[in-house]
Amino acid sequence: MAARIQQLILGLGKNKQTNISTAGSTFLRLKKIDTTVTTPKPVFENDAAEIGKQNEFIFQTFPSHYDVANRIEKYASAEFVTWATAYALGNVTMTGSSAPYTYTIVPIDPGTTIELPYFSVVEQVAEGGGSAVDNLYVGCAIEDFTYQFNYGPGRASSKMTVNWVGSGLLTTPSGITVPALTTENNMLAASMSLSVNGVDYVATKRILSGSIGWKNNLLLNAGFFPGSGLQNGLQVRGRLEIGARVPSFQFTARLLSGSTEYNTLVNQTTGTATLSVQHDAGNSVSFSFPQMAFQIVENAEADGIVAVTVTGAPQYNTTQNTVLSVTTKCGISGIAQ
Amino acid sequence: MPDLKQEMADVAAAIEKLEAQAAAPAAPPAPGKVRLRHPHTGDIKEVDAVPEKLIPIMGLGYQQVKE
Repeated sequence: MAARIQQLILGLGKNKQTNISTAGSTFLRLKKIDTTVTTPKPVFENDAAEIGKQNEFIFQTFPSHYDVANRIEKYASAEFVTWATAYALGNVTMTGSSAPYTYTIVPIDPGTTIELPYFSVVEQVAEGGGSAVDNLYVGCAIEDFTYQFNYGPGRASSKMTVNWVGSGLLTTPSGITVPALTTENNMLAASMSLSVNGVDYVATKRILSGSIGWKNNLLLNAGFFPGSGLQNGLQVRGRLEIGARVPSFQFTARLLSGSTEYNTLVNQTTGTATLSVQHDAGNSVSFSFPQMAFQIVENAEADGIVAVTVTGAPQYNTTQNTVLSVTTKCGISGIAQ
Repeated sequence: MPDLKQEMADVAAAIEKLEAQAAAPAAPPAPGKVRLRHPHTGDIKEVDAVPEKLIPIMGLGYQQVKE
């Protein structure tokens, strides 16, 4: 017997954990397009390099720590983008008493906390009447997300990828009954509106592709502090703190006579950048950079058409008190609450 | 000495009043408003429940109060 990868059941914690070591109890079951299965990787070190043992070969191994991490690549649905941005940025306000709920999401203020909300991940693969995989990863945080859009048909025109890291805390078997698949509302790039520094790139039919990213640069080693805890004799993390966070924004558009990108770069003009996509009025996402300059402007080519690729330099805005905000609408309540 | 006794009684009464206030359920925010609280200072702001009003306050570290 064996199991197909499509059997993988992925449950992502809906409500945030109360702390890093207490598992969440509510899950969203979602589909994904990457074929990775998380490995609860115990790491061992050895004495190969140590002196005084006749030769350079291993005499003994020693338990070190658990290293748990994986990525989730998905077509961008309002539900998943809400989940990903809420846990990646960390400060979330949910409003509305019935669907659609509105989520207002901004990065956590490091003067208040440097720990993001923690979530749990469960993975299960049924095989031969039992389970080939049935793991609950507790105390996870998002390292980065990338929202990507492209010209072309279908759901591939709008994707979201998340890399997450675990504390190492693990429960096997998970003991979790994952709910039925969440109905997701995918947002095709064809629904997009994009305005950057006063230029409407959709109205002029110039926009081709691009991405919005956020990287938390989590302080992974600092999670193993004295007293952080052990599991099966291996260290686990007792905290996952943000490092120097980096927002990013890049896009490629057709280059026209009178295109302003190069002048915007040279003059270091700043303005807002807002990208919105939606499935319908009740399922949408809007990324907003309140102050954007251009860092790099390069001429390019796409399908034989002359284009320009712009790498933005998002700036912190002292009126909005943020570098990025995300506003979403979806039918699921309680995400990261 | 009586002054000191009176002072201690006043302090005890003030503490009791504060504790009673803290234990009392807070009235829900006005319709269309959201209550945000700063986790360190304890300052509470009641803000229109629209992203453009919430973002500048949330950016300062204020977090939604669960009603």
